[in-house]
Amino acid sequence: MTRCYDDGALRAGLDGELPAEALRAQQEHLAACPECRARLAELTALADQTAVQLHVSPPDVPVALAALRRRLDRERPPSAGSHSPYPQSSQRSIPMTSTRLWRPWMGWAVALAAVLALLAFPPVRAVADQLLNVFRVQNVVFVPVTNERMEQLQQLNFDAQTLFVTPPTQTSGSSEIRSVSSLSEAATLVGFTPLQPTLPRPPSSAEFGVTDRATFEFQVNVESARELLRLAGVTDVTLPDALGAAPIVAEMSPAVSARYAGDGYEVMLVQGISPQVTLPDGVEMQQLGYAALRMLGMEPRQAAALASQIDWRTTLVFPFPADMTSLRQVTIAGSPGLLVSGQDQKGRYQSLYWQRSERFYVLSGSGLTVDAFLAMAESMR
Amino acid sequence: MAEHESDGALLERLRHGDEAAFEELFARHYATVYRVLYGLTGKREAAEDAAQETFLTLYRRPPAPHQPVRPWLCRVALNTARNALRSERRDARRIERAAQTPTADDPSEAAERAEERDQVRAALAMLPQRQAQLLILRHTGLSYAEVAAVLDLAPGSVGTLLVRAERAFAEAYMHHRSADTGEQLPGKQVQP
Repeated sequence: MTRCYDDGALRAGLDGELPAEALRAQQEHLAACPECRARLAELTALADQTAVQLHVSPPDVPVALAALRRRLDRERPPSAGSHSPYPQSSQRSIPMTSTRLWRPWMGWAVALAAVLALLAFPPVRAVADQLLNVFRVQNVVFVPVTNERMEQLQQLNFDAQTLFVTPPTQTSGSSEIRSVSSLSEAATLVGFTPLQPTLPRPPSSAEFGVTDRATFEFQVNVESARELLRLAGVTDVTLPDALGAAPIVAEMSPAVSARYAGDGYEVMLVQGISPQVTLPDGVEMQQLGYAALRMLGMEPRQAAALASQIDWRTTLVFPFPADMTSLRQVTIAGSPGLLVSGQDQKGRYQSLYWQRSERFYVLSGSGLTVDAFLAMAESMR
Repeated sequence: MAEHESDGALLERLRHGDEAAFEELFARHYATVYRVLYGLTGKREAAEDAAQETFLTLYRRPPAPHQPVRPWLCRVALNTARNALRSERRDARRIERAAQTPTADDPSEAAERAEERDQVRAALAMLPQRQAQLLILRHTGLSYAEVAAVLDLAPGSVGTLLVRAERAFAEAYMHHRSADTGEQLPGKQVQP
């Protein structure tokens, strides 16, 4: 007869933790060894008794998940804020610079704002149109806002309309989408070669459109802007008169939109060159950036440090909502992007903004897994 | 789709910001993490809180996709529970007496269960910490390899250590039982 087994080996056999060969050898031994059989019986009883004593009723997993979601909503780090404290106009005030031309690379968070609109769960089509709008008119320097700060800002007794001497107005060009028959036709119209995603399945329909160059202008009422800062409790920065001395001009570059629909999915892609903004002379960008950061609730030291780090001529910082758990920062072919994903009655949807050098991309999809959606974005190189 | 995906694939997706992947991992492993934590803390609320912390860690700092998720989660859970317990030392016996909603219709039966649960808690508290952890992890359903990974043990030693821990636990339990009621070791079902 083979050698007797120790408790550990018997217990491993009992627990199915022995390789088949070893288990068979053990069973053969047990058949021939009453002592080991008795010990195994004792170990089995001990194991069963402990199992009963240590038994824990299963938790309610969906309830636990909901609780975690609520917690995430509450605790989203202060890299979040749901709205701009700036006026609820579709055009927003821009931190200025003495630099003549400011070409913002819409910072990764820009999409956010755009994507915020998505959260009402409109269908992809409407969503994409909203995104297009946002990108063509919205240039904001931004940072995280906590929910608390957001509430404070929303309760300010301030009429946003007074912030402008002249409200944002389109002075040239068109913001309408013109239908074109193909991407190559779009390319000739916009002056750059639009990228094409690899779709998860061949599309049954594809539509393309271009938006032309357009110019917007607006002029800030500095007194009113100062008042806004005062109301918001930001007293350690003074806005220069130069801010309101001349109109701010935003030139929107042409953009291409494409809409693909296929078996169970729909995808909308907007791509273009970041807008170019011309700001009045004599305004120090860093100072305005500081004011904006303070406005959003950042402490003076932190705001000063960040304001000096940011290259305001090329960076657009945007707040993103504190209460959005469906929002994640992702990397698309090495470039930072923002992803919103979720589910509505019609199924799963995603929307993604990313920027590569001066080009911005907004991709929205429905009926796709997040994986397939991200793979599609990654395919655009 | 999700059922057939490995934990590693889900981790990869989670690292790409995929919420659905996180929820799938949560659905797969929450019960295990909760049960380990209930075993460690003896309190439903404490277990829920610590389990939430544990998954928050997964959400914010997921491990590399090649790392087995369940042992990783359990290790995080052990650390979380340790920190939580440290902050409530005053409750020396770490026994939950009244927090549970009794599931029995008969109040006396519920009371009996609560008493039994207290004795289980007390017996576990008498064991060296790692021995108690080993027992809890294994009886939550972790494989020997997983238990070994969580506790930094040689997988081949888990069987032996487990038997040792169960014997120590049975002894401690009996000790408490006879100290409390004068009875001998029971075979009653515990329903925490």
